[in-house]
Amino acid sequence: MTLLKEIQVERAKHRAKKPLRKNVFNRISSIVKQYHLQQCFLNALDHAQEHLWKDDSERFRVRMKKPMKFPLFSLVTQKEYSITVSIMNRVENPYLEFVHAPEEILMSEYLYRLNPSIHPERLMRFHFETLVMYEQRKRDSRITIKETRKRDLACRE
Amino acid sequence: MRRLLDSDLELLVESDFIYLPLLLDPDIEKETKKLFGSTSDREGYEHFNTDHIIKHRDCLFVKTISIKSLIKHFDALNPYYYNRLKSHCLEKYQLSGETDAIFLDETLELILFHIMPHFVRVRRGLRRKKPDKEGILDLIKERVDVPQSYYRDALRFINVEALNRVYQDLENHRPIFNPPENGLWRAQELKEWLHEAIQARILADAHNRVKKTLEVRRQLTHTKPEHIAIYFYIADKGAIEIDNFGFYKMKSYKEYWIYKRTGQYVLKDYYGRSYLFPDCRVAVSTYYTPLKPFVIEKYKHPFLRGQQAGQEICLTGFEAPDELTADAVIQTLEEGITALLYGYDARRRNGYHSLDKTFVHIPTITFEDYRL
Repeated sequence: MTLLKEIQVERAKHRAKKPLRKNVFNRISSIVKQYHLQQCFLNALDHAQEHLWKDDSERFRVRMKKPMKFPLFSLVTQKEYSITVSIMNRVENPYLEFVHAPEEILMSEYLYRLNPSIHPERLMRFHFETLVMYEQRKRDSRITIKETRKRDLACRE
Repeated sequence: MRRLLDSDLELLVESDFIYLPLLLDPDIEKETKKLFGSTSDREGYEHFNTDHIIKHRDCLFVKTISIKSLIKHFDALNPYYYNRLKSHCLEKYQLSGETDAIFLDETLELILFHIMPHFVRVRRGLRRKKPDKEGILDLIKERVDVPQSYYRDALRFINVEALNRVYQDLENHRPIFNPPENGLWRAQELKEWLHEAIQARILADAHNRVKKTLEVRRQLTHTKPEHIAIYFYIADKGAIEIDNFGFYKMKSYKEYWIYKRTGQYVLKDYYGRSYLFPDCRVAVSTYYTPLKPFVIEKYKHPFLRGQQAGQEICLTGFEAPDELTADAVIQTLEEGITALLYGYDARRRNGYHSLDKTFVHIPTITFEDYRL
């Protein structure tokens, strides 16, 4: 490629339109606005991890992911802005990009710890509670298989 | 705007402007933080480099609408609510706005007092003089059945004392427009203040109207109530007909159609056969110049191109007058009627159509149904 063509290609790249992507702030602020989340939600967020780790896996159930339209530009009041930023600072995991409801925000950290490599398509399609239930049962069944093998070995010995 | 004032937001009023809470996203937040060099004017207020953003009690507000402008243009912003408020205010002071205009209508005056006497037979008895305005109104009173309700309205209308009291009332309560105090306002409170301010503006406008109305009514104090009732009747119905002469007030601004009925008449064709033409109204519009006569009804005639309503009469050798004067209207009407009744020449078959069938072309309009 000649120098002239190189410069032209470079300039075309810079001039190319960059599509506007909806970011995490848009998503979280829309949820805060729609569900009128207050300071008490932040308190619930702090204690969510403890409850989720302690809770029985039988408590989780299959849930439908509610479709939600997120605006391209989200503008919020000062109060809502501070709640949104607090949520984003407290829940710093990549699964936050796929939440559709407050309960998914509460579960995102727990789900991430259960399995940090869930495919984005699954995160977009299934409710986090369904995924948590699935991951927990997978983990439980792995634990059960390990224990069964240990017992078998002990018996043979 | 309506939703804003019905909300539960807190708004800031400062120097006759409404400031709304500034909405944020990360970029706007960065920008507001960059705007340093704030100057503190009063306690609790911080103005940034521009006066577009104010920080009050740790909340950011952005400049939006001017209150004076909002009040001034409220009738365009929310016409339904404004008209409701206005009706309520005017009802309170019993002002009949449009009725006064009928007494100042010059075209109506021209029709009633200069054109009508030419067409309507006045029984003068032994008097030789032409009837004056009172005489013409007396004539209308005799010939037109004006309901009693208009007479009662007329009696109320000429009662100037009542309106004088209203005017004094307005003078004493001369509405003063006080801008709202600077500070935080709840949206509902600001809405109530706005309601009062707009009423004050309506009354201020009505004040001038009352003054003008009083001037008109003082001129009519010596007029008979029956005559005023006739004006009210015309204002309401928009039409009057006496002795085959009449006029219509059209919905468009100040347009009248002045007409004269032709009555039934007979025309003869080339072979001497008679054709009886029905009655129609030949009219002139006061709005359009030059003045040209036309037939109001759906009508056919050799001098009319088709058979629809509102057709202009074909006239030759007639220069249509440009100015609206009594003589011009009378002349135009007479020319139109003369053309219809006497203008057709059976031998020459002048006009768009022939009464009798000719074999030169296929006729589009025939008059067989009029043949006697």
